[in-house]
Amino acid sequence: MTATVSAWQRNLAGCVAVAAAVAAFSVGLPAVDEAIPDSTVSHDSPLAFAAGVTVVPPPNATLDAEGTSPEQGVVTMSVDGVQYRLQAEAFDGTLQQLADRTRELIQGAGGVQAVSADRPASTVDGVPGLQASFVAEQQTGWYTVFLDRGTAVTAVIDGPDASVTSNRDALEASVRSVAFGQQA
Amino acid sequence: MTGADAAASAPGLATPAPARRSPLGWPATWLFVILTIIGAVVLGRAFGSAVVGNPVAFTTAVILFGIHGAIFVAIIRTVDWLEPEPKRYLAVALLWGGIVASSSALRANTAVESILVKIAPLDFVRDWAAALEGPTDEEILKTLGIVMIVLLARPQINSILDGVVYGAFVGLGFQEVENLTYSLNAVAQAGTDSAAPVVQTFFVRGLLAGLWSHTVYSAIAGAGVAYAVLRRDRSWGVRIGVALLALLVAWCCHFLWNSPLLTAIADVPGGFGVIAAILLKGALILGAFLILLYVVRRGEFAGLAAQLARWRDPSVATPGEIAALRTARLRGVARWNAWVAGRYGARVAAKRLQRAQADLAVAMRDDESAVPARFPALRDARQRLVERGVTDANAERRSTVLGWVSFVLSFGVLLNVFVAVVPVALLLIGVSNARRQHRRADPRLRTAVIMSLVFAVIWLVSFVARAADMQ
Repeated sequence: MTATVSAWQRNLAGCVAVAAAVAAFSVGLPAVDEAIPDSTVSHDSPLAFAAGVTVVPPPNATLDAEGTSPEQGVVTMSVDGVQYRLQAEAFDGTLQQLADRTRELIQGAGGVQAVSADRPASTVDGVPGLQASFVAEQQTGWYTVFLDRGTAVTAVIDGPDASVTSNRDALEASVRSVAFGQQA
Repeated sequence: MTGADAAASAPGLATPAPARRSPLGWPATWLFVILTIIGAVVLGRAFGSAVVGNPVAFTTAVILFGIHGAIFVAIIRTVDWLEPEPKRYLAVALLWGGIVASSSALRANTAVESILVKIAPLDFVRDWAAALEGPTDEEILKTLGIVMIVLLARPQINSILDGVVYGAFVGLGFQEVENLTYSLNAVAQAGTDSAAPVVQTFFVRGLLAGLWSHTVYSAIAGAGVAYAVLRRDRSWGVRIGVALLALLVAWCCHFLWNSPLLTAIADVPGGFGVIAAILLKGALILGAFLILLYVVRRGEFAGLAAQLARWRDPSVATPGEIAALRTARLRGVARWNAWVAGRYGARVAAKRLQRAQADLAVAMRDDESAVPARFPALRDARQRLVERGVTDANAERRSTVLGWVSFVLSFGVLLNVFVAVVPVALLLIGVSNARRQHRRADPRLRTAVIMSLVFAVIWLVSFVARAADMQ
């Protein structure tokens, strides 16, 4: 009888250990992640957010870890409540097709009321792009797309009207700082 | 003394297992049920809408990866032939890998990547996150599934190979659920509910990368857990150390696969470099696993063969029959020999005899009380074999020129499907001659026919694909 109770207790102890280990991964790690604040990014040097693609972040930007996936070439920053999302990806269409696809995505997002016509844009290095503004309820923003040798970069900025207005120049300068490095 | 007579008096057998508590009486059963339900809810919340929104793609993925998984199950069961593990515990292992480990890893990997983004440069995260988070989270979570099997079914872990088998099933469950989630992600990227992205995922993850994936990693970790459970003659430190070492090897295999190491090879133009890098990494991982598998299988066979040899009774098992139990290939040759000598009935009897001999050996090793119950099946199979003129179901091979010619010609089926007639004809001639002369027939005749059939299927698929291309 003693041996049976002992085996049951050993089984229980093993279960507690297994449950604790599973909880450490599925609950503990997310809790640790929550406890670590988002990091700030330097606006003095380019940030490599995808293979061969860099951007100079705006001043006082923090990296939104939840919205950032370096493997997928996605980085999301936050400036004074404004969300600034950049994505680099392979794209085999034209610049206009890229802009049209982005427009569709923006129009499909909830709350967007109007999107302006495309207007030309370019990076500091002279890579051509297209840009359009959009408005939503108490939100405003704009997107810019660049295409260079099969690599597309989409920058989407949106946030409260006042914050977007006060940070527009710094954000615009950051968008124009997108640089396409040497292609593989 | 015949085996039947000695059934109840074999010396030195293991002590009988103690009376067992109902499975529902163990905390491990309830923990497993609770974690599985929680895991299913987590996976449902994460992928439920993608499944509902993409019925065509999801059904295609389930069918393709279901077949893929079934083939893996068949392979693992072949490895596990000497002492088959109970299906219910193999199902537990699959469920742990597919639901508990997958759902926990989903949350853990997301958290680790987010932490890395906060503390490390983005280019480092891009290159190394998958190599660090995947192996660390997933290997440990999967290994916990093997520990759970120990908690649920300790008496089933009788050899290192048992740990390998349970580990492989945990890994397989994880691998196939991961394949399904990758398929759904591919469909989401494509933006349409179609089979094409799923088929592409199947080729990459199922065929190109499937052989050296989670099934292999967890099988390695399982060997370590089984060692820790079984080797009570060693100190706790050694047992835990070996288990951790096996987990480290599994981690390293997974790390190698996920890491950007060897990518320099992939820079070769034309896409061949990528294939070369994949194959090189895969060969290293699979090679390490096959070496481990060879050692543990040899160990298990030696233990069971020694049990059978103790009878010194050819009615139980001849030395040739014991040797034939070692691998699937040798068992197949023994059945082929029986078929050549005594046609289909002898082949069936040889198969039953092999099963009965393996069951007897396992009973002698693990549970003395089960030994007498093994004899009726063994005696029946032996009698049927003798009635068909087979006195020794061994795996002695006869090599003939006809067998070699048939083997080489079978490759010709890749060029023209009608060449398949030749190996079939040579098999009929070879077997007919062997029966007339009361000799063995070269098993290559059979191998050549099987290869011809496989090549014929490949030829036909290729033919249909080319015809479709021309249209």
